[in-house]
Amino acid sequence: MEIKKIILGVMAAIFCCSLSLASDDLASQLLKASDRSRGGVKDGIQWVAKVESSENGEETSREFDVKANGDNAYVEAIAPAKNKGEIYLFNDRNMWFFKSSLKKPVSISARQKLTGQAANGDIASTHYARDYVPVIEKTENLDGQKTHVLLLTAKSKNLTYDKIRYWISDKSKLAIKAEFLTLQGKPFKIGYLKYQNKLTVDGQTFPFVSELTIVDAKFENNKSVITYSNPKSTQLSPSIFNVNNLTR
Amino acid sequence: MNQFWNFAFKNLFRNKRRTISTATAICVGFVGLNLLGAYIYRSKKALDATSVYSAQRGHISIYKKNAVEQYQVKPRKYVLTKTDIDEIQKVLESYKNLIDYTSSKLSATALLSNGTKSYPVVVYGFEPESYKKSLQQKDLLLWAKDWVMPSQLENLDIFIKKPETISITQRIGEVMALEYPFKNNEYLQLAGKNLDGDLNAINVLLGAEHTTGLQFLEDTVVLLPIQKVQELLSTDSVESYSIYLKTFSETDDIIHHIRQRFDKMQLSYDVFRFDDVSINSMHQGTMGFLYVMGGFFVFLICTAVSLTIINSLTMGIIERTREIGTLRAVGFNVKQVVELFTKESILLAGLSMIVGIVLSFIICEIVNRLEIKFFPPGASQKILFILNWNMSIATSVFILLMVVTWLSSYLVINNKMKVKLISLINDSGEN
Amino acid sequence: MKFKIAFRNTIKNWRHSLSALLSLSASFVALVLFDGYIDDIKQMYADNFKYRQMLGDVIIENKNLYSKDGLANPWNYWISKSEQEQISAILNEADIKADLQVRNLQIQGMITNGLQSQILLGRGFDVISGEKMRGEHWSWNVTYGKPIDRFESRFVVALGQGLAKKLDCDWERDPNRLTFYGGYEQIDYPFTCPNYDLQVSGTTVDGQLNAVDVQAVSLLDAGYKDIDDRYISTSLEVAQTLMNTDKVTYISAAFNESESTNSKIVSINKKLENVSPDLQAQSWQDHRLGEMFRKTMDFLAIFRNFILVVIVVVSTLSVMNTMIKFVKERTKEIGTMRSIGFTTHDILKIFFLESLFLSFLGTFAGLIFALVFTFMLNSAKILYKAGMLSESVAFKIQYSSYSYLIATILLIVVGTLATFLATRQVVKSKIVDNLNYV
Repeated sequence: MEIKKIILGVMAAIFCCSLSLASDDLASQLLKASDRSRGGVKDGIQWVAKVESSENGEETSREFDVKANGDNAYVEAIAPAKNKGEIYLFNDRNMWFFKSSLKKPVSISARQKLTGQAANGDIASTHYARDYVPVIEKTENLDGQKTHVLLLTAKSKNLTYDKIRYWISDKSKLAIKAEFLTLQGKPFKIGYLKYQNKLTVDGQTFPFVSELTIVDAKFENNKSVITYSNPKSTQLSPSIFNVNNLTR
Repeated sequence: MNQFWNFAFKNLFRNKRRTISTATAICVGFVGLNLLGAYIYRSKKALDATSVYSAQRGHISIYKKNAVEQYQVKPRKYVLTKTDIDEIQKVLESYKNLIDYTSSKLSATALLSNGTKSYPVVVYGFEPESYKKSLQQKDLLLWAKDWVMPSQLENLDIFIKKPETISITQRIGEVMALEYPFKNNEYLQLAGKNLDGDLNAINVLLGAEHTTGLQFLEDTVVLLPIQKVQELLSTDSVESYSIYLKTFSETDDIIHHIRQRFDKMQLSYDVFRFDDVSINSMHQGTMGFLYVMGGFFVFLICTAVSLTIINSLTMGIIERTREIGTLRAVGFNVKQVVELFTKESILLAGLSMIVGIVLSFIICEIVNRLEIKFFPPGASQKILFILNWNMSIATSVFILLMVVTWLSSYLVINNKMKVKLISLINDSGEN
Repeated sequence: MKFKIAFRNTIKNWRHSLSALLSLSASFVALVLFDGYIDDIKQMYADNFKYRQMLGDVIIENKNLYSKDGLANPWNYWISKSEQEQISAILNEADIKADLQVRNLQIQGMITNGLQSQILLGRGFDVISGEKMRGEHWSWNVTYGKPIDRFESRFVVALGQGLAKKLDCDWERDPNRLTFYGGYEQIDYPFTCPNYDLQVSGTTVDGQLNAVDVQAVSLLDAGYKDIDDRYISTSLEVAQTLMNTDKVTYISAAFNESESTNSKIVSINKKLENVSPDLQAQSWQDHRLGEMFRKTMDFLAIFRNFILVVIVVVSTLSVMNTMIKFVKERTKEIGTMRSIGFTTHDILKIFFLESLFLSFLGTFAGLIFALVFTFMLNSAKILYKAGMLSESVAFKIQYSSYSYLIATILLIVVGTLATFLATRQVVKSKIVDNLNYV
């Protein structure tokens, strides 16, 4: 009898572990899949982003040409005309601002970019599978879709957001909602995603993000809507992400 | 009448010891008031000059209504546009013979970057021509030379010749590990949010330095020609409009008239004097403290001098009671006796204070030659301790103490004259 | 007998005595009032730093906090949790006895009410011990609303009035809030804001973005206008939550007994060596925060010395004049006394005693007048702007027993010395010359 109990217990433990492992596996798979549709592809990717913001009662609209690869992003303003040619370069968490009239780019540290487009840059980042450990918290119905709610915990302290709550559609494997949490677990910003674009990489076509709406969790009238268009996979030379090349 | 002055003068020497000690007390009190007045006078002049010229406020500053409080919060709404400036200039046409020059100001918060490190600063934009004129103003060089660096005077044209030049303090240079003296061929970048809320950046050229004079601002404030600040903020508007008058004395009048004109034309601008607490709390605070302390000291000295006079006079009267009786008996009326004694006191005070004028002048000269330096609270560096002896102050103190003397002596003598003549004559002089 | 004679003479020569009394009391009043004013400024500063700003008697922090690297990366120089515990143990030791300890964490970031965002500088501190350290007068340290320690929730903030204005808060301005002894009346004056629910955001010690929701519950005067425009005062919980740390910037402590503060600080520093060689204890007067205080006191010392010299000279001359006259007028009397057998020594003693009575009476009268004037001036609550302070301060005069004592001693010495010298001069002359004096 006792041996039976032990064997049953061990089997239950193995089963739970497998479930847990299976669950972790599922979480990682979901995250990888969702990353792909937000730009997390092995090659470089390029798209046009239109950002319409409403902050503290003031509205702005900007358009950018974005080239991203891994931790790096090269973002060039293309509209309105007065901003054309301004460049934001993201290297890991550092940001550089440059325009042709400048002799050197301006370094803006992570601590200095708390508002505006610079802050949005962190939210638009797309390598969650690489940077975060996912755990499935629950499943829930969101906008008529069954979604897995993942809690993503940063693998290292040098990421802007320590925790993100992520809703990934069970059917499409696309992230449709993200809550960027404070260290105390409260939502700070909320992102809503739509995927009406298509992207082809290595002959494979899949949905790609078309809109990301970022809303201030506390003050909902402050929000930015990023509209993605013309996404394409492209070979990007690492040199474009080198800050020293900005002045050449 | 002249005989009374003669008598009064001769009576002073009847009791030399008492005359000398009373005179010394009055003289010391007078010198004390003069020296304190000299310090306060100098402080005010220095603060006035730096407020108007160093800080580029002009004698009069004009802002959009409520901009002083709200510009930092909503800069786009509270700037003065070209249309606003045109309107203001039209109003100022009527006073052009009183105005020396005008200029605009614009401020912003930004990051000063050397390519590897960024440091938050407050940028004050100014017009280079106005900067040059202001630093050459004789009032500034006379009263506040400590606040103007020699390199600034040597390079007055630098912002005209090279409008990209930025002026930083030595403290900022240290924090950014920049080589000192600052090389005029090194470019830095200034980045900040423009009025549309976008990040923007410009090149600036190192090469000028300044001191704010204030400890709190010494690691924060940089100066830059206004066109560059406008470029950073992507605007052609300004924050305020400064008016530099030909003389200080016209300031209040002109402010009054300008406000009236603005009201009449229903223009929404605020007009401030350079030392208004809204835009210059430092000036108000410093002078407020000095005036209170000075006022208190004046009160104490006047009281002490008054009592010295009363004391001296009372003793004199006691001693000369019989003499007073005799004067009355030979025909001097009460008024004439009062006049005689009062004139004695006035003469004594007057002579003491004339000596005091010379003494205070000499003390001021000695102190100034010693070139003593001291650290006023809140200042970023030591400044010269200077006493500016001033005839107006000496005259005011002279008049004040004369009035105190006259009043004190008149009251004492008058009181004494109420005694009957026979009692005066019979007085032994000991009680 | 001589004592009786001296006393009767004082009464008999009342007119002379009155002059002397007047001189003495006026001099006394001038000296103590001015000294009292300077003392009040000193007291106001000390009060402000020690109580209002909760700096206590000693500040403990990392000595490299204000180095170049310290200014760029302050969190590397903060006091860790274990160090805090060790410091607390040291402060509780019998030879130190600093029961009141306040941990403080300085923060910076952004604050928003959803309509406006502003840069903020702030301080989080232990609110309960902080309130105790502020003492009775500054327990209520806010101009509008209630102090943050009066709330159960720790997620509350007091806004600098300048910052509150930028967040569109409004209130009925009344500069006359200061009480007689400093501090504010314990009244919850209302203020309105478009939104009391605020969010404070910033980067943590690790550089991660974080935010904390807080309630604006009061407004305060941060002291200096430039700071008032961006200042918040909040609990240590809010500050540590925002920065995601259990460290603190510095610890301030107040000794149970105020004697031998310096030797206690020396003792603390010795013991801190066992905790960390970088930690140091200083009084706030010696600290960087006290630099303004030191410079102001140096500056005031110049004025104080100068003005006191003037007042002392004028007063001394006035008193000497009176006393010398006092003696000279009674030359005949002295002659009479000598002729009936009083020795030089007797006469000197009698006049010395008379001058002593007068001096005591004069200074006593001065004391009464000084107390009355002080009370009247303090009650008048005259406000004036002083230096870079954001709010007006009250013109007050301190009751300083030390000043009163020094002024008394000075005037008694001057009075009796003058009398002695004058009397000695008279008794040196021949009796017949004394009798014939006119």
